[in-house]
Amino acid sequence: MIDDIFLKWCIDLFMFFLLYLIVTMNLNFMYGYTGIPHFGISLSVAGGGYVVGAFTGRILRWIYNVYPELDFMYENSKITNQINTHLANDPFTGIGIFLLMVVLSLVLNAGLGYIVSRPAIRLSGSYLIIVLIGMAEAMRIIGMNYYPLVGGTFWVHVPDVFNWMGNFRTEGFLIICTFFTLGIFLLLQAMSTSPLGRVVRAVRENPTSAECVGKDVVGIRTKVVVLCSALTSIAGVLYGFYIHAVLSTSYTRSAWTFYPWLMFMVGGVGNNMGAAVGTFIFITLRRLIIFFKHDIEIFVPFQVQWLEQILTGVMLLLIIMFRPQGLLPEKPTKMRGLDYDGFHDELENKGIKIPEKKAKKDNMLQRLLARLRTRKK
Amino acid sequence: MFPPLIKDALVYANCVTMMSIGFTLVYLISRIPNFAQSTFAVVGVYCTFSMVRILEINPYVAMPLGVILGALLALVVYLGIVNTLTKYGAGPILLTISLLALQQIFLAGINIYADYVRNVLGIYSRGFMLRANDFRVGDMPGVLIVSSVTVIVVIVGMHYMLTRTQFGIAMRATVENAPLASVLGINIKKVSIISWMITGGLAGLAGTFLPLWFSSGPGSGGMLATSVFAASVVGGLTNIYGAILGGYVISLLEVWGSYLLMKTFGLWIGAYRLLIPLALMSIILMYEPGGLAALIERLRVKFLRAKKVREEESK
Repeated sequence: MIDDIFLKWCIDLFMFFLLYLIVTMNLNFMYGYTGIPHFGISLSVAGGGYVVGAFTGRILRWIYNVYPELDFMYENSKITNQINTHLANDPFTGIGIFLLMVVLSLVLNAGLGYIVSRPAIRLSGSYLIIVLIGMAEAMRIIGMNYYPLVGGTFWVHVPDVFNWMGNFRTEGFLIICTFFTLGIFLLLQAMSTSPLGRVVRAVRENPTSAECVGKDVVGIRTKVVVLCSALTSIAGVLYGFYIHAVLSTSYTRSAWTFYPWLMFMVGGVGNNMGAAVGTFIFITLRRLIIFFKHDIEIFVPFQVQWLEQILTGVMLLLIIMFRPQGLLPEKPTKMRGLDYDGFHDELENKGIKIPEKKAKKDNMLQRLLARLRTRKK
Repeated sequence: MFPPLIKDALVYANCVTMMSIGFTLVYLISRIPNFAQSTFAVVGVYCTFSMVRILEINPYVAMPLGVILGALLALVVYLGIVNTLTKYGAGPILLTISLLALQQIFLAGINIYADYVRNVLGIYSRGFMLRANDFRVGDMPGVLIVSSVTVIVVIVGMHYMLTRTQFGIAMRATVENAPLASVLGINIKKVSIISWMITGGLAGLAGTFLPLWFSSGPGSGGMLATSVFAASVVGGLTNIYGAILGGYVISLLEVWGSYLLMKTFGLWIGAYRLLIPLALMSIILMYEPGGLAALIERLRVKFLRAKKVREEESK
């Protein structure tokens, strides 16, 4: 019995880890590699969620012709239940709709990313931050007030497109999510070690000099924002399909902008492994707090949520103060397509001596052991 | 005498202008957008709330308290975070993130206070409106008079300080070129501390007026924040007068624009009110990134040149 609960908790943990990992990796590519401080990342997640909430149920109702006379939003549960019974023995439609939603969300959120970044992408950091925060707020306001989109402050049910999996559904969806996350990871990793990654780093380090050697800085920044907005929206799509619902109130600034920023600041700016480590640490902590929430709630005369917010805020401040480079700092990456050994030989032929690599420093444990050994003597 | 729409617009504009003056001031001095500022206003909101609902006295007693608390919080933010992090070598982006973190911490603190008041004292502490506790002069609500007078005093005081006092000149010098100012013997840290405290005090003051006219709660800072950002950006983020102009332009357009839209398209459009300042901000950034201040400056230069040409021709 306890094992069962523990297993469910682990699956939930892993699921949220994957969702947040998609967001943090994209954020890392935008800020860590390109230097765009995207403080409105929640709007892309919300964009993905809205696409799922608005289209999945409507398209499936049209396909199966379920209650065509009823209003989609007001009779949402009834319609969704009926669609789910259809989906239980129709795997092809389910998978097709799922893939369609992913593609639709990619396309729409690429456009959205272009629109929101357009006003300020050529300006300096502060303006961009203000505009993006404002745009994320606008997205939330539209979601909360435009009832036909995702049901305003209520929610809209998302039909279970993997209903045909039966009992294996949770695990099956987890595997699908893992594949998506892995795909995004590989794509971003490939991009960061390609010539594009080099250009992007040049833009981060010094936009003026990048422009001087003929790189279109504004164009590159726009492309990165558009691409990363599109990829981030997949997190919103998967989240919608995972909880079978889309709540416009759940895409808050603290949940989908502040926490991802915190995660990749913890892990290390400018490398994907750091983002993964930070996300894992933070998600575990947060899930533990949520798990033990009710035990703490007895002792304090307020909601534990606020305590959690204070804790995470203080954590971020401490990290910025004492370890601004994160747990895993950025290392110089070897670019694909460059012949490093060739460079070596060329330099040696010209008679330039290359300083030999420094011997690897001992880590903390080894230093401690060495000190103990010397003391014994 | 006054239609309610003008009252709405003026009270809102007064609050937004006071906050955008502070936002611009901090941006000029420290070069970072102060995202924690909206929480100073929420502190002011809860000062008024505590005076009226808990102590049951005149709401205007909260004014000095709001100023002091806001200024103290700003002092803590500056000395504790901004100054320390700058010493550790953090850039503007790291400072911005840390201010967002601080905003979250402060907001959580205010929420804890609200929860405490509701659970322990049994007073409803979210989404309150205290119009009934305000005094009236004929048709005019007290908050309109008091906030307008305060804004005028603040603007005149700022103008006097920036142009006539030694400190104001030191402040302007710091804005122009901080290292050079410090070479000339200006204590930059003191200037920064006082600017931050002015910002906090103004935001706290703006917050104390809010619940007397609008429905307020822990979220009202966030409601104001978007307009304040837009007002400051439209004003140009380069001088205080731009912020004043931007504050009034944005908030009056927001209130009246949403009213006009509601009249033409129906009431549902009122919910999207915050999109008006955002749209204005985007337009300004696309066509005139320097804001209204730069626009006016350009027009002035054009006008002067034309005048000069005319004078030369007449000779």
